[in-house]
Amino acid sequence: MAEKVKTIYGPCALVYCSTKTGTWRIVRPQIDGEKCVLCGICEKYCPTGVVNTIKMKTEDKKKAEGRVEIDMTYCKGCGICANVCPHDSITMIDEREA
Amino acid sequence: MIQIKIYGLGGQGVVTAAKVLCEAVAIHEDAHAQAIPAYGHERRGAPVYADAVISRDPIKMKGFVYAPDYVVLFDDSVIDKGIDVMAGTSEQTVFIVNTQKLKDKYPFKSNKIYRVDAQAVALKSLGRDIPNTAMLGALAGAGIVGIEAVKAAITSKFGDSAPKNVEAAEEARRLIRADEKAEPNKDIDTNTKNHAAFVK
Amino acid sequence: MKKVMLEGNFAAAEAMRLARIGVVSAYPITPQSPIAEVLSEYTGDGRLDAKYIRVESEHTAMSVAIGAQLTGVRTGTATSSVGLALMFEMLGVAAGLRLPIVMPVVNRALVSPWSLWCDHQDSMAARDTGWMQLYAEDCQDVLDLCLIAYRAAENGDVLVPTMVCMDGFFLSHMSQAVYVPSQQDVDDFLPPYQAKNLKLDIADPMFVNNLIPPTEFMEMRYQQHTGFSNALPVLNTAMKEFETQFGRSHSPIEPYCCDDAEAILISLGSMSGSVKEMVDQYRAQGKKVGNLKIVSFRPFPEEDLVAAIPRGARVGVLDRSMSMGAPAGPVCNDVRSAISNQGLNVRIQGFVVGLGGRDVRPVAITSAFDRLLAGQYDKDVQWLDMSDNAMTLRQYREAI
Repeated sequence: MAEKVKTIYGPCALVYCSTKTGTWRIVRPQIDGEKCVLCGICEKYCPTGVVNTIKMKTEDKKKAEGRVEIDMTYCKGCGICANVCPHDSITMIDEREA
Repeated sequence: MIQIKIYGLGGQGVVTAAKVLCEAVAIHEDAHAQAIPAYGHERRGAPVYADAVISRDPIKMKGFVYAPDYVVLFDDSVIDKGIDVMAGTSEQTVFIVNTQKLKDKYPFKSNKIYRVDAQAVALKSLGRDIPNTAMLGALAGAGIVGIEAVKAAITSKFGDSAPKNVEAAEEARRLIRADEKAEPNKDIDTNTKNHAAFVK
Repeated sequence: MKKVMLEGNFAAAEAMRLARIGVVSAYPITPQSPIAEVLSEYTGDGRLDAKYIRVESEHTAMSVAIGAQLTGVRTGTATSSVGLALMFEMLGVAAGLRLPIVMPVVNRALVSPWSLWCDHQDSMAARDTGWMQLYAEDCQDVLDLCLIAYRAAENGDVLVPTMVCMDGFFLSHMSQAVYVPSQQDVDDFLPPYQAKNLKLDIADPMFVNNLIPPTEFMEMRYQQHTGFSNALPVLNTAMKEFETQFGRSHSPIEPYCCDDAEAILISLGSMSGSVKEMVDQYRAQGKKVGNLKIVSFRPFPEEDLVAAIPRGARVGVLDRSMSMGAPAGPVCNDVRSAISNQGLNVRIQGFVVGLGGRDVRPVAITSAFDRLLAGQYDKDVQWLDMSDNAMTLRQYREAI
């Protein structure tokens, strides 16, 4: 297929390089599965919306089972999840050690 | 004239370190200094840099540093983040690196390198991984500026948290070493005006 | 007098504090924000006995400054870039009402493209609003020129508001040791402010800023023109008096190694320091070059400027802005007109450098000097230290 090169004058972006906000991170959330009760508060507060709480049905209704997934491609490491967690189950750890 | 480039990550106090270094030299050693921070799209964790120029004579140049005599790395991960820490350097350029150990990835292995684990010093003295005041002590250990001037500048800049930061600076000055076998830093006359770079 | 580390913004705020401004109305904008913040701090903790009036825009900031100054106090405001542009209407009002407001302007590029960084397009766009414009080379200059500006602007023969321009980031955020004079010394230099012309006084009412018919308009503009004619000698005197009081000399133009120079670069602001550094390096190689720094762009020190250029010297002007559609940047155009007005026939090479925060690097300065020394002249303005692909920065492929 034939193509021609078109030139644009003035400010605009044709390449998006800073949208993977995970590259900004210097600390990352680490979840203690023992303490986590899957309440989902971190998910609600996450400003980038990268936390996903997955609950599975269990026979014992008092004990929730499942996991919290965080999309590290976009998690900026802001630490809000660790701040709002009512069970102190999230610790921000140094990205270099992760 | 000594030209210094400091690379680090947003939140590590790179800009503050450049300012405190200049205050140490210009106010407490009565020489001349200017700190030129580069501002952009700031965010914690992004690579940042600040330039400092110190001199026995008044400094005319008002721009950034293009041929650094010293390159200071607050965090060697800037190398992985695509920052060319070799930009403008020569064989004579001295590198001062905050690291536990020298790594193979360093592109400046043939240059003179000072190494200090400023992260550990900062965590011990301040309880936080903000290595700027420890690195200022390291600059004194490398002979760029006098430790007394650094301590005075930290004291005037940091208020209540000054003692802890002074401790970090002193500790890093003690621990910095030029190579793995060298003894920890001996007392040397590091008043800026007596600095070798001025005398040559 | 004490020596302290100050960034340019803080040096400006110190000068305003020492001048005992009574009302502050500043709207924060990068890179001026620290001025607005520190003046707020000073008024809050009592270091400055002033009323801080919060405003919603720069247009209002200047409106408030005008109203306040009319009541007989010095007022403090400062801005940058698009903030200065939003103030534009009121700049003319302050000038026309002959209110000697002193305003630090932290130079930043105008939109668009968006930029946070330094060039002179903002203050150059405002050069015909009837304000004096002084350009600082370093942080000490910022403090000194502000104090000098109050003294000169408030002179009864001048009564012209003044912008003290400092390069965004290169000065506004650069730390340097600055000598801060004592309050007593500044009080001796700047007596309490008195409204010498228009004023708002309940006991003696006056209707200010009414509609003026064509029968009087030109005359009032001529009054402003006369204020500017008086401004240059008054500014010179104020600078001499400043030197007597504080021991630092300033001048509307500052030649550096110009006497025997074969090539001279004219510049404004912080880049002058970098040009001087390169002059030293050229001189060390035996090449006779010089720098002519314009401190006072308005009033334009035409005679002194032309007198400082030795016969036969090749001259170039480094403009940190461009007058689109004109032969060159605004400083170059004025230098050419000054040369011609003084009856000389010298070709002045126009250069554009350092737009939108680009550092005026040694490579830009050397390419300008080398062109002049080689006798190259181009009537078109030369854009220096620019990438080769300027016209093809953004391209995409489209199917046909």
